[in-house]
Amino acid sequence: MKPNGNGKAKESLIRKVVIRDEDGHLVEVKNLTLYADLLTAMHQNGIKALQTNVVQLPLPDNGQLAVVKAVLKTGIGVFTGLGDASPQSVEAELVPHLIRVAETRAKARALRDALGVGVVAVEELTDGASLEALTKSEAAKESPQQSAPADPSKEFVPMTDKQRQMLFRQLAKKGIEGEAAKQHLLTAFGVNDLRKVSRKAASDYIDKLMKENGQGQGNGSHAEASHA
Amino acid sequence: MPDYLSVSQITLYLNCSLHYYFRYIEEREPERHFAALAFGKAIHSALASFHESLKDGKPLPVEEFQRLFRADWAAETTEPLYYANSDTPESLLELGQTLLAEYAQVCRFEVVEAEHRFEVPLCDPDTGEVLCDKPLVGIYDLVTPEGIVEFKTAKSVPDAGQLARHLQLSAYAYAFSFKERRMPTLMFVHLLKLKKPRVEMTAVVRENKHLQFFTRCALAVARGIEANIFAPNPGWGCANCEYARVCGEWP
Repeated sequence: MKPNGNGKAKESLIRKVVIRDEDGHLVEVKNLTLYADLLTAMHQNGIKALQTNVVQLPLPDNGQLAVVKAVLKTGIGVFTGLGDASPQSVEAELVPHLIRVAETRAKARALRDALGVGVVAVEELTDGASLEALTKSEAAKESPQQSAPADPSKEFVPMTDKQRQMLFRQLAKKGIEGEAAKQHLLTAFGVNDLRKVSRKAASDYIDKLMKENGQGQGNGSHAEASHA
Repeated sequence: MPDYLSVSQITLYLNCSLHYYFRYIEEREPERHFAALAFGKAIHSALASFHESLKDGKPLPVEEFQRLFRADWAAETTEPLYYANSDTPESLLELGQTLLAEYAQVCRFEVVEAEHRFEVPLCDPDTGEVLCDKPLVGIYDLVTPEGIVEFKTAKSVPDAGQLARHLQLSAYAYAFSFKERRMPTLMFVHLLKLKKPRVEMTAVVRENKHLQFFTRCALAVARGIEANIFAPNPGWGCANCEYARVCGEWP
């Protein structure tokens, strides 16, 4: 067992993120967290169910405001979160997906409460600015004149041992075990070695399997929503 | 360098401080993954789920308990593992299921917490003086109303002398008594990997002198790490070391 200090574990969920305006100019560097990281951390801590319900559909007479409630059941209690999304609070390409954005925001809030993470998730931001995560050292060096750092979503972070275990457990619930489970995962992820599966892809697939196994009946697919 | 001390860090440093250096300071990838360790991990995670089910008042049926282990073992064996003796993935799968079925039959624990993380300062047990700026962190396998239960997969149960000096149990007694202001009962559960697998439970007693000894050990380890003192400890453990190659090239 390799425990993490609480502070250390929380710290690993917080990223320095560059906020740029529409012209690509650096506006500020913020401490933020990512939905995918929160979900992974929660899977590692033990998640019993993560359910969502649409509280309000986006309609013309309510300003196209979608509201979703998330209920997260963990070993230490039940946490809820409300998320909303409207054409004013999302980027243009996400306007057709307001419910999914609201769902992700609701889940992010519930996850943050459960994990004790005070900083806001990138997915909850409503300013439409482009976001780029930085390492601490990069953030310290960052200046408006410098070129933009790499997009973290393109960085490969392998899935954790806990995620791998969770995948096999979820498949076992469906009656897929042993070598068949391994082959299933290799095919599902399109890899020849499970060490090539990213943390985010694992997180999405765990969510999918949990839904199929009746552990978290979301209204939208997490795999899709997490891209919001 | 970790900003905390854990029981496994302390025992590893004392067994071989160079091994500690490779794992915790360099954070070096192991050269080999040992099946025995992977087996222990799969057993522990299945046990944790079993104990959680007891805590929730909905005990897992044995078949479900075994299925969890099969899934956890399958997850462990996706990595290439180094098998000692005549062990194979199949033989360990069989062994694990047998041991867990046996344990489910004899388990009578009232579960307060399973896989419960603790974090306490390292203080002198008598005076309360903080000895080290790093906290002691660890995970109890099982917490009962009376104390702590620790699980091990092994070929044999340590003898009375080894149990009396077992640092992990002293560390747990220290952490528990720090939080609860009372000495816990301590139980070792050994899941024995024998031809005829069996589960043995051994009660272990700890007194204040054990806590004193543990804190002195922890402090010595913390000072050794701070001072960058890392040296190999050639011995029987080298045969199953995950850093045998790089150690051979040391310094």
